[in-house]
Formats: sequence, C-alpha cells, structure tokens
Amino acid sequence: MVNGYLAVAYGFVWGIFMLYAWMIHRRQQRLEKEVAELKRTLAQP
Amino acid sequence: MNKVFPPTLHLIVTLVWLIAASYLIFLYAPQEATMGEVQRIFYIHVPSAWTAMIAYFLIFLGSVGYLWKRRDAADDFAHGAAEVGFIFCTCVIVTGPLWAKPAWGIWWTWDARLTLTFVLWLLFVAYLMLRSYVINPGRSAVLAAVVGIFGFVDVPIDYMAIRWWRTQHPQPVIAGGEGSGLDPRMWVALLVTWGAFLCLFAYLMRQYLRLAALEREVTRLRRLRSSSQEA
Repeated sequence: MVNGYLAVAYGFVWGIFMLYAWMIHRRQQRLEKEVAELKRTLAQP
Repeated sequence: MNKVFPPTLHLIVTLVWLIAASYLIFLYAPQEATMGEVQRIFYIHVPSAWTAMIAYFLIFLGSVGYLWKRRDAADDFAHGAAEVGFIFCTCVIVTGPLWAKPAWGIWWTWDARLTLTFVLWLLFVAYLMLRSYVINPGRSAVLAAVVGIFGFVDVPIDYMAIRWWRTQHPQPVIAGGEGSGLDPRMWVALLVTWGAFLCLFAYLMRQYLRLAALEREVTRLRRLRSSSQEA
C-alpha cells in the first residue's frame, strides 16, 4: 500500500516539472513561428 | 555545446537518470525504521533544496556579471536560473509539509530553517515579479540583479540554520556531527537523485536560454520591420 503523502509529493514534483517543460516548449514554438513570419515579411520587396 | 551534447540527447540522459533514481528510491534504499514509507519523500525534498540553493547562487553570479559587464547573456542566465530555481524551490515548499505532517504531526512551524526556506521562495517570486511588471527591459534587468545579489545573503544562512540553531527541522546529513548520517544505500539513492535533478536543471536552463535567444531575435526583427516600414 503506497502512502498517500508519498504519492502526493512525488505526483506533485513530476507533475510540476512536466508542466514547466511543456510550457517552455509551447513558448518556444510560438516564438519560432513569429520569427519565421517576421523573416518572411522582411524578405518581401 | 549543441553539437557535442544535443538537447535531445540531454533529455534522454535526464529521463534515464530519473528512472534509475526512482528505482533506487523505491526498490534499493531500505525503509526507514521509525517513519516508514513516507521517509522516501526525503529523496526528492533534499535534492530539490540543494538544487534551489545552487540556482540562487547562479542568479547571484549572473546578476554580478550583468551589473559589471552589462551583457544580455549574463542577464538571461540569471533570469533562467530564477525561473527554473523557482520550480525546484516550490517542490521543497510543497514536499516539506507533506513529510512534516505524518512525521511531526503538523504541516508547518516557523522555525529558522523553514522560515528561511520560505524567504528564499519569496525571493524567487520577487525576482520573477520584477521581471514581469517592470516594462523597461534595461531597468527590469538592473532591479532584478539587485534582488539577485542582496537576496543571496539568505542562502548561506538557510544552509547553516540547522547547524547554528536547534530547530524542529532534522539535523544535517552532511557534516552534521556525531549521530548524523545515513545508511550507505540511502546515500546512493540520495546522490543519484541529486545528480538526476542537476541534469534536469541543466536541461531546463538550456531550454530557457534558447527561449531567451528567440525573444531577442523577435525583438530585433520587429525593430527591423518598423525601420523598413518608416523608410
């Protein structure tokens, strides 16, 4: 039987790391898209 | 760095290391005699605390570097250490009470170690709030650097608190004097987990620095677009 406090502690730690990694990945994707759009705009004569 | 040790490989190494650490925590390390299973919170609580303290030291270094040379790279480094360090410090603040309740019968007490760790968490929050709410980028970087430098005073006091004062918090496992120490298998689990957390910290820092580089690129391209439209 897994201790409830133990399960919540480990669940929280892995959860917050996964959430942060996902958030940073999303922010990177949004900025990469913006960089590509700006470069396309600047390349137009 | 990216060619020698690409981010994808770094992520794989981190995940494998974390899986190995989990095996050591739950299957290799012996069960503690008085607290039982709940003592295994120790293996994430302590490495998170050590990593958060290292993160604040990196904020301090980045802040000094920025105020000295005014290089954006130093500011990005400090800001990244603050963002990732905040996550680790939050883990300490959350896992501590989850361990304290079954071990001590209370969620929290305002003893020296707990209070100073809470202050450290507030310093991370203050640093990040300054970055969000001060709009002028140069001013925001300078103010955050000042918080980064003065706030660092808390770290050595927090680290030494359980050596200097008798507190509710357990005595240190490293250099804690007679009667302190751990079973060798517990040491292995603790150090391997700390290594995995440092590897994770480094991976998240790399991701943050990539993000900061993209933000600067967007700002540069926007300025270029504005000047070309004016012309």
